[in-house]
Amino acid sequence: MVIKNSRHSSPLKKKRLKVAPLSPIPPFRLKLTFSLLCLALLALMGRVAQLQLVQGFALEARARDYQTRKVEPLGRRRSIVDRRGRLIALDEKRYRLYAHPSKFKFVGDLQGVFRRPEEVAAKLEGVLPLTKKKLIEAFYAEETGVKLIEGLTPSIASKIENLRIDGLDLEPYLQRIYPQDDLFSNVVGFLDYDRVPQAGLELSLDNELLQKEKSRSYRFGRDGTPLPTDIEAGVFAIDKEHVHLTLDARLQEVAVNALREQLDIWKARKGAAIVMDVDNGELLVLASTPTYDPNKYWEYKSTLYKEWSVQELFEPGSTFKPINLALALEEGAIEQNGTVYDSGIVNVGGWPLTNWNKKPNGLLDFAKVLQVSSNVAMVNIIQKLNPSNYWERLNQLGISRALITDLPGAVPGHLKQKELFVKQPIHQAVASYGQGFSITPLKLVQLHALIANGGRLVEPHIRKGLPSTITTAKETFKKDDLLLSQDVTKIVLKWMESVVENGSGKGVKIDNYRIGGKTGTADQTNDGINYDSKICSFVAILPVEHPRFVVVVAVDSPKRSYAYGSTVAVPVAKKIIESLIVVEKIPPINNQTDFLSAQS
Amino acid sequence: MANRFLSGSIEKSILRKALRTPTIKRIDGDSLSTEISNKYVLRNIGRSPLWRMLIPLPWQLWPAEARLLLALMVFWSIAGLCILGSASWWVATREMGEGSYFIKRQMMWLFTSWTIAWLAISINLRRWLRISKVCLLICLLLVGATLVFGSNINGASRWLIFGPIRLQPSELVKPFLILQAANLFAQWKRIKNGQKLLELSIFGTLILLILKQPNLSTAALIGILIWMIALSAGVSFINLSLAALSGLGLGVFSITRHEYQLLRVTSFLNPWEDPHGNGYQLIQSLLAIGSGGWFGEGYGLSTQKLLYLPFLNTDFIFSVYAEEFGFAGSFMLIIFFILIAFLGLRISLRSQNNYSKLIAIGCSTMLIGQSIMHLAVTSGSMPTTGLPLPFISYGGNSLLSSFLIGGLLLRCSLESSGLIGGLKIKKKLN
Repeated sequence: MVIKNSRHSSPLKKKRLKVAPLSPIPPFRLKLTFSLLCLALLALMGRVAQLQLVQGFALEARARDYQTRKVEPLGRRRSIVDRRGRLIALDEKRYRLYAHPSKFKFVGDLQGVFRRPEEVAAKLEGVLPLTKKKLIEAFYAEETGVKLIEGLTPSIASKIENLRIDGLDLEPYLQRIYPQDDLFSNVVGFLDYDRVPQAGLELSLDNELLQKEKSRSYRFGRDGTPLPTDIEAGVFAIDKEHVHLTLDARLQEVAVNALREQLDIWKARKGAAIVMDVDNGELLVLASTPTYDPNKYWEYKSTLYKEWSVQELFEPGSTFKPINLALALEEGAIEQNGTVYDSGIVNVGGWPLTNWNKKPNGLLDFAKVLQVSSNVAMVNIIQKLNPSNYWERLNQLGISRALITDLPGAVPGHLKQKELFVKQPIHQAVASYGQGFSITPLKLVQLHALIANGGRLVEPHIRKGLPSTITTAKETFKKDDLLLSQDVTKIVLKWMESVVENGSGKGVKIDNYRIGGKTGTADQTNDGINYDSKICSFVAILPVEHPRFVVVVAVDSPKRSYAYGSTVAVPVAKKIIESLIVVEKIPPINNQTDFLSAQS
Repeated sequence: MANRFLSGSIEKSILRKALRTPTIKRIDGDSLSTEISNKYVLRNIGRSPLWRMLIPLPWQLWPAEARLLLALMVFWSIAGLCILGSASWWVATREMGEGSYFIKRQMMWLFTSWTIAWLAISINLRRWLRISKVCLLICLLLVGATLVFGSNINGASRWLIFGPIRLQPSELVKPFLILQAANLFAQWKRIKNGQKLLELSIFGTLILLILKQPNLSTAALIGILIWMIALSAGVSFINLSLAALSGLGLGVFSITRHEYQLLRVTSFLNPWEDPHGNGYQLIQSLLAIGSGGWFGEGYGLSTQKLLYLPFLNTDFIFSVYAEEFGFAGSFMLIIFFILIAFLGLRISLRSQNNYSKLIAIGCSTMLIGQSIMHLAVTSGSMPTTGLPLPFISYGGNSLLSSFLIGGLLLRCSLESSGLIGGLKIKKKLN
């Protein structure tokens, strides 16, 4: 009012004077207001001081506790590679996608605004391999925690992340991938859905395959973004170590394919092929059919998960004959140039024992014994040995002991008790041609390596480069450890070579390569009484002039007639040997200079 | 109390009569200073540079309080932008996809706000007082409109949306409320009871409408502000106590009626009872402030701002500040507030009439009072309600009204010099 009046000047003066006087504001009131403000501010300062200085530590600890999350390692496992570094098993990061339909939001949405499932489904449709309709159905099924899909690759996951939709959760996990499909499943095994190892090396080497990852605890933003503070040293260290196998993927593939083909032709139950380096026991091939795809293990019967060449026993049959001959030579029961008579039948303790074709072969030298695979001759030879010594020799070979190997589940073989074996000649007699006791195919490989490497018992293994109890022939064997003398093995090897040159092993003959071999067709019984099926096998040692590899092929229960080692197992062995020569660059014999230079 | 630059003797006598301020003593240099100022104005008006024409009073003649206040406002707004930058960057990247989203908008609003502040400085207080009633009524209507057309955000309809602009009438009403309260209480003892009742009922309606939104914090702030202006104006303590009691009653009534407010109040008393529900916001804020310790985590290094704190651009920005700058920073901030309040007091004491005295104390009370409530909420000394920190929190409406209030305070200071705002000067300029 006063202001108005002062603007209009004198004419209104009269009126203005009638207005009641404006009482001035006492300054102390203004100061009072100021004091009130100051009081409040000082009180606040006290409160803040209490929070920051007195309770500061407790609150900060609480905040850190709230902001810090412990991230347990995903449980990354080491990759498994073959001898040339090809991947056999590896971990890949995959994502599971969960949805919380009641909390859907887009970037920039105001708080309290939620999106309908249809809108989210429309955005996801192009990214996920799911139709819009299915997505919407899933969204309406539950309010929260709907598992939409799993096995998303990182690229799809990042696409989903870029959509920036609230209410979608990507959970990373690791998936074990076996890029070689079924080639190595018999050896490597597999991990089940929960990443628990179920078979093979995955199971037996579980501890070594697991990476020693530390659990990480660090601060996160509330949206899960990790912060670069408070991180312990070494938390992010990932070791790139692989588990190296001695196996060769190319050879393995050849072996598996050849076996599979042969199994088809002969309608056999199963087959195995093993290639071993005789000097150090490294296995180059450990193939087995039928087998399973570890990427889809659930589609196969669980009986396939066992590797039978390591875990099952069989009676080796004729393939054991070279070893018996070597024992006989070692014992002095036979001479290198001696002969033995094969009458076609021999009676031992009331049991008539015959050759496979029930025909006599007459007077034979020992190379011929192997060539025609004469049972009768073998019985005659073994009968010249002291039974007790013979048993001791067999026992020394470790037939009834479990193999020392890094392959999972190796089982010991069966050999009759010494008393029984010595007392009843029939046991010695059948043992002479590889029946009456049982070993695993892998053991047979080891025994033939004896002949190849001059009497040393190497330990077959499939892991390279990691220290273990495995010993190799070259390093640790002393003279005393030799089970056979070099002279003996050389003689037997020559005899075996003749099997390939003129005998039942002709099928693997390769020009310019010296290969020793022995076929075997052993009767086997499933119930212990009826010998109604057979195992056809073949053993090869190459190259004879400087043995490096033993190849063993065994096929179980071929159903067609004329199934023998020479018809069923030899073709497989030939294919493997051909590849082996290429892969391992074995020089042919007529090129001695090259051979020498390759050796040096 | 001496006013060195009080204008000529005629006006002096008018003012003396009008204001009835016996404490004001004139000194002899009056006529000399008048001469200087008159000459200065007359001589320079023709050839002064543009910026000088844009300010109502030549810089040399600004009172010390005005200069300091302007400097503090500039500092406050720039520091506020920096604090907001740190607080909002992460959230903006996560939620808006662009780290500078909030700062850019805030800068645009700052530009507008400085224009408004300039306008506040340039316009005569008398004119402001004359238009304040109309503006207040318009704002009242707008607040009413929010109840009908308002868009509901976070359970309250506080906003009116016009295209890209979101208006929050309860923010914009603040400066006009100060002016209107000054209008009323400056002549409190002179006007009839009927008119008092009418004016007070306008305030009452406003508070009720804001309560209805519901926006407890702004309603409380406005109530407290009116009460403080009344206190400053010299209203009898009996009436003040009665008003305070009825205000408290209203508050209790509102709280018991709205469940969410009741929950907020109870959760404020013991936030740890329900750490993931009602206590969540306050707990996060306490954790943030507590993590600050003596010297804080350092600028930009708050962890609680990484989406742990809710509304950290607006209602909880102090928590981020306190975490980053620690007690040292909080101490400085509070000292800064005391300084601003003191400047407001000085300007108020120096002002020559009841109106500008009340406007000055009202403006500083509004700015500091709102800051106090913001700090009180974030530090758990008050129920959790959303109030922005003036000049710092994100929000165009809050900035506009804060700058208008700051501008009015500056204008009060300029007019306290006696060189502008008076009748005579105006005539001379014309």
